[in-house]
Amino acid sequence: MSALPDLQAALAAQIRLGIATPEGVVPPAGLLVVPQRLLIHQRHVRTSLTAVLRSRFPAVVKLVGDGFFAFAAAQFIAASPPADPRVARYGDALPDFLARFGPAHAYPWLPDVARIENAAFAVADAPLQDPIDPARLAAIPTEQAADLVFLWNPAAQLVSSNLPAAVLWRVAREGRLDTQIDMANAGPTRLLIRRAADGVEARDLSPVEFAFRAALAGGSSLGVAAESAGDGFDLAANLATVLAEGCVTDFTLEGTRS
Amino acid sequence: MSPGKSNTPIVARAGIGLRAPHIDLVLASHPAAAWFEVHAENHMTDRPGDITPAFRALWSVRQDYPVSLHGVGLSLGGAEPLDDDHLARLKDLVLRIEPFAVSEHLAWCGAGGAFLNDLLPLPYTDEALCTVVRHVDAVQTALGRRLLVENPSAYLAFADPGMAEADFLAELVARSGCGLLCDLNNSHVSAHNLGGDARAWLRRLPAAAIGEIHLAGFVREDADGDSVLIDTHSTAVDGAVWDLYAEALSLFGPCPTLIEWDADIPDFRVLQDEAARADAIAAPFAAANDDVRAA
Repeated sequence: MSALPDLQAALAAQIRLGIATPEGVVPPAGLLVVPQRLLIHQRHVRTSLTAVLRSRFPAVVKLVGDGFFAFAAAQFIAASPPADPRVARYGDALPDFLARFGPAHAYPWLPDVARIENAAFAVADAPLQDPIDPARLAAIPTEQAADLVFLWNPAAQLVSSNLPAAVLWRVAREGRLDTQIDMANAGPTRLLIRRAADGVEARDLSPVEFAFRAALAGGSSLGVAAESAGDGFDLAANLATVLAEGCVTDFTLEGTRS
Repeated sequence: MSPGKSNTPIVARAGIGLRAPHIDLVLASHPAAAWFEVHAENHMTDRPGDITPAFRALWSVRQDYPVSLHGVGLSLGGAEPLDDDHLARLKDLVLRIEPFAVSEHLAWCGAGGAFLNDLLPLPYTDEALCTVVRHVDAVQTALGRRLLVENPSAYLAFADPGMAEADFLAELVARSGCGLLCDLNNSHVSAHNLGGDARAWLRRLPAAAIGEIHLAGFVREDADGDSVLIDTHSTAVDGAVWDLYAEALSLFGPCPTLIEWDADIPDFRVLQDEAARADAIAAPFAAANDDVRAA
């Protein structure tokens, strides 16, 4: 007889939903349920995963407060538990959850602040890779330069939002929660978040700077990316900055990739 | 990258569980510690050979200290198949860090694709034994080395509890060739919560299979007048667990012993003091062992 899969599926469902077995309800097959004992596991799952989310989304916690965050996290954990045993990475789906989460609709910028924190986490966790040696690029004939396709460094993330999420993220990150913010005029978000010598660094980009980098990161060739940035774009200066900021780790030439 | 130092001979001394708040301190000041244990999941990389900051930190620690890798995510007792990707990541870490021990838990961690981040209990039935033996065998085959399996903390009882835990562990050792990580705090907590005798449990374990001992702290809670011990790893080792430690040493001899502290983590010095206390308790047994060898 195979009882173990049924027992584990039933117990996991109870623990995941975070509800004790009500009196009189038949417990999972084979388990002598003492509700207070089941609660020990339910509480551990909820509190340990909430702690992971708190450490990954510290600005969100500061902006909405600990109580609201714990409330949202509990709903998120029940709806989208981790799939990966590396739980320190849990929470990639929190921004999308917050966008759907009715009680958070009072904070329309919240999902994008969480997206910034996701990007900062990805940067901090990304493999250490050397930026490309500029001498290798200099050896590319000028007539082929437009066909260059860069391998973008995962330790350089781009985040955009129509809302001033970056302003709120910085206010929370720097502990300046009493700052008066003119939300109507604070402007949209276009951030480059990257690994710098002394930690994760975030920098605001202009619309053309962002468009150029987003195209390159998305796999467009240098020529296409420059066109997407629009008229008057200073390609040489922007390319130099992209390289100096370590955003590129390798390249191929379009049409020559295997 | 491969560790610059070969495996320092592992003396049966007390090591320290190394968690994020102390990693920078250890790398900067090289404090005295016989060895460190880390949670493998915190240092795994997506792809074999990747060097992430978390991997690099562990690799750097490994230059100066023996390291043990303690997994918390394989779900050895899960009825579902092992997560092959996770096992591959563990294998990559083991190959690169060259730990002196690799351990996991006699527990399951989720079902239906949900990882619940808890070490959930098994009924000790023949079916569960076959499942765990199969999974331990797969892990040992993949890693090419012996795995130490840790006894869990228990809060729940099963209608069909199956065999006694110590007998289940002995049978697991006999069938899989694995070793045991004897967590004395867990055995104390389980005995209290389910009404057992931790000393009798110790005496029934296969002594030759013990590869490591864990010591940690718990908290006591009242659940409707029912006293329950919670394995929080958030306090100093309890007196009852220190007593069990002396008993274990008399049965097993000196053994690599870990001070585990995972929540409300204190100053590193407190962990060093706990390790020193464990070493002091173990010293007479080590001396006795030397006498036996000399004779």
